[in-house]
Amino acid sequence: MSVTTSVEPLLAIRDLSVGLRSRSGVTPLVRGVSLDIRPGERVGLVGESGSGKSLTLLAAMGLLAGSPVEVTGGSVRLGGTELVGAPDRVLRGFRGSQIAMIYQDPMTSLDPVQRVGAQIAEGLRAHGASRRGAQERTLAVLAEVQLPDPARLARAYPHELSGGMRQRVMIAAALAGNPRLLLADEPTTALDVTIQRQILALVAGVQQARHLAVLWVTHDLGVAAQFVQRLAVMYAGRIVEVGPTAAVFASPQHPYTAALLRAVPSTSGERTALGQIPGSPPDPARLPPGCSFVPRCPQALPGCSLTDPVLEARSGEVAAACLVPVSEWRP
Amino acid sequence: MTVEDAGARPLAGRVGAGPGRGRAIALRIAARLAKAVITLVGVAVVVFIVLRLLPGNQITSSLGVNAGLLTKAQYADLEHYYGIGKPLTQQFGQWAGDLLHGNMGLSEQSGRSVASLIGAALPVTLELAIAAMLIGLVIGVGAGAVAAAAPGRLPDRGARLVALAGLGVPSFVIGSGLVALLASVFHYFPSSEGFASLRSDPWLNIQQIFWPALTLGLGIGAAILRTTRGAMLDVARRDYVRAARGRGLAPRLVVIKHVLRNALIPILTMSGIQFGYLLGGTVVVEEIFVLPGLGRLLLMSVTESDYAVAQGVTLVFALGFIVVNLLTDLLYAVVDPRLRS
Amino acid sequence: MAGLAQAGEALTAPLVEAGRPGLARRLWRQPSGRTGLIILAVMVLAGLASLAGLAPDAPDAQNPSVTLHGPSAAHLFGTDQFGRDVLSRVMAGTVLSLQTALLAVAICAVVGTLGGVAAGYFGGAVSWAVTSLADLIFAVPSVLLALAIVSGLGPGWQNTAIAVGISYTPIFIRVVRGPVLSLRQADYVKAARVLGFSRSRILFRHVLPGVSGILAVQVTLALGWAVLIEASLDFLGLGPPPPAATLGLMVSEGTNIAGIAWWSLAFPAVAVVLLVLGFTLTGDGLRDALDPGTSDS
Repeated sequence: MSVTTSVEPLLAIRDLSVGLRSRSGVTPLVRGVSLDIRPGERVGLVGESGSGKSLTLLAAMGLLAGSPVEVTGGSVRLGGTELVGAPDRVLRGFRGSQIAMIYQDPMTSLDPVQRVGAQIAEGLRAHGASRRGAQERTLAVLAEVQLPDPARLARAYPHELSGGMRQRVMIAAALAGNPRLLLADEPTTALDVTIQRQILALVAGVQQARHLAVLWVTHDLGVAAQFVQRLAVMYAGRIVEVGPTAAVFASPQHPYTAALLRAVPSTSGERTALGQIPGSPPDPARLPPGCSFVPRCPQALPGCSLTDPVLEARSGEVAAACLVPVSEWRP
Repeated sequence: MTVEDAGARPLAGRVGAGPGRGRAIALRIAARLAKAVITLVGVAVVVFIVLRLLPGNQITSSLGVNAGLLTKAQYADLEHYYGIGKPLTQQFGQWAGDLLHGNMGLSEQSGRSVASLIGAALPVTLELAIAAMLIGLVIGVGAGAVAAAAPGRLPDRGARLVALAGLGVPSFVIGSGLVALLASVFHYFPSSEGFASLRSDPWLNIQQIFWPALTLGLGIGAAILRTTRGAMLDVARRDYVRAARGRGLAPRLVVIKHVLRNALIPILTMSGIQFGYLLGGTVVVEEIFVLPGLGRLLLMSVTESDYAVAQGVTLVFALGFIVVNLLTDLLYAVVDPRLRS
Repeated sequence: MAGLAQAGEALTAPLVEAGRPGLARRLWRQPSGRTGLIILAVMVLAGLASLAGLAPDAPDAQNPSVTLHGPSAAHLFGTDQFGRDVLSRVMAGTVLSLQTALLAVAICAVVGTLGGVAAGYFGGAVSWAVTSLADLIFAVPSVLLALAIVSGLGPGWQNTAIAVGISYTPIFIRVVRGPVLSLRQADYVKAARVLGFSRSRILFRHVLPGVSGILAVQVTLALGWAVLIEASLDFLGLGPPPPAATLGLMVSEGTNIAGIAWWSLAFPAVAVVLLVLGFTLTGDGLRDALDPGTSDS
């Protein structure tokens, strides 16, 4: 059972499954993911590469069409409308105006042969804005992301801008349509550390000002800790733990989360060795029986390989998918 | 990677137009022109040397067997006339000098000036080349875009099959087949009445140009089809195309504004390459369809050892090739803003 | 640095792939490769049969009593205006085309690869000289170049081969130079130099194998192109003169009598097309088999 509350969720992902269709069958990449995002809430989705977190975002936007990866089951509801299986016409109406996405690599996410301002404006015009209206809106949103001289910058090409500026442009493009939900696919991963903090601060400011809901995907727990209110941890296509950030950090209920936290360098003064998680994530085509974390889990019991644990409420508002209660964990 | 500063500093002068950019563009054009001139001179030298190195000389070629009947004095006179005994550099200098004055020498066979022969033949080949290139581009980009729109389906497989035929069947086979077909099955002989210029009889001219242009255009179209299809499929997978869809753009708009626009770069490259093959193709096609163009002129001059004409036509062809390369280079800068700074 | 190592890996992948016994099988599995190989096998067999004297008739054996007969049991491809068996002539023409193409590609592959490797590996003045020469040859359209060479050296299949070979050399230079240039920067080549390996050893044991895959594809495509140009030159009358049985000449003569004897034009034309297609398809298949990432399909 997923963690839901009384406030009507803005985005309700229920049992979403995404798979890679090939000649030998369907390889599951996202397996039964359920997650709610309430209006104005900041939710983080954390996991290693290949855990399926980016695919979850793309599936929500319906951007998997035309690739060999496709949604194989489940539902994604935005406000009351079902997005999975909806015709492109319907999805187009939502993209940019209700739900917008920013991507990891700002260089490849912007068309190199078009001016930056035009790329922002075309989204607005696709939603019915006039040429003048789109232009004004573009300049306004470029100013909102703290880019200097918006009029001149709008006429620039992507290769003329620095990485940080390109990322701000991408955020501006996402905000231009005044969406209610922002999906962020590791937007700071490809940037320098100093720029990362600036972008994070920018998104935080924008989120506050607009009361925007944000689903932030990252593999960096540190970034998650700074920004999100609620944290979901993904492993091998499943959510294995979810709950308020502070609670999850203070007392992780899943061995994987605990291992991730141990791997984050601590500035608290204790000089302990950085924990490493031995092994590597499983091949989605060859998942071990039962819980997929068993091969790398320090707490694994024989029973863990028999059944795949379901996400269950634990203490407080934290839910975890593990058969071994924390009290029985070996040190 | 430098430590970037994404907002505090005002924009550096890179962005936007300004007097600096105009000068940069002018410099680029000048550099390209200089390279083109050097290549042209190089080609001229190569052509000159190759033709001089070939066995036989102007005397034996124009008199044939009768050259043996010349007395020593007569031979010496002719040698002097043709400048045969002089050192090569002097001969080249003389020829180059004449060339710059617009004097390309006289044709052995007809006695007319080479310049006038070329002047008469050039418009024909020009018309043929342009028509062939247009047909090739229309077929290539059109069919390529259709194929890329639904990869793996029937229009795509059909288009790729046709492309294979266009690439694999030599233009002389297509041309011969067409002529045979038109003549024996349809009893259609547009070339029988002698060539009509565009001005004197437009309809006949179009008929006479269309079939050879189609022959060449099929080969060009096949190559451009493959390039267009590949490029569009490749670009469609890129992140920025997905991002454009993510902003709510309709699929058709995405294809036109983003996919096609970015695919133009490799299409432009292939078009330039095809033009190179086109020049050689005119020789064959003008022969088959009996068009009085430069290709046919070259073929005749080479088989009849009319050196002056052969030199002149080869130079004109090389010039055309170089000019087209230059234009393609400049077009790149128009299509791809990254190449402008 | 990591990027360069990866690039070196990627470039030598064709060698690793080529070494794997599965290459032939993968080529076979590609529809284009399979079709190309089958076509080539048929044509080569026909050519070999002609060389072995197994053709129904001698290519220039004239039989005045059976001129311009259509395809029949005695003459599968019919006879031409001199009563010569078209099938035998097509088989002989295939032999001529194949040997000309092989000689031509041998010339341009050897010269072009040496030039490309030299330009890519030594860089600087050597590279400039080689590429300038290549650009010059490239600036003169190939048929023109071939025209000049053949008309100067005289008709004969060897001269045609030389002409075709020279005009394709720039392409080999270009194709080989690029990867060699990149490989030169590859970590393992730098390591070899630091370790003191001689230049030639590095060239032969490390750099050359890296371009072998690209070379294989290019050689195959060049063979197809060579057949095409050779046939065009023969068609224009610049190859071996009649009564030689070249496919190009047969197409040329066949066009004149196509109205009354379609087989004189059709069969030699089909033979040329099959040869060119066979090489082109095989080359495409090779390219896909070596690096599926760039597949057309």
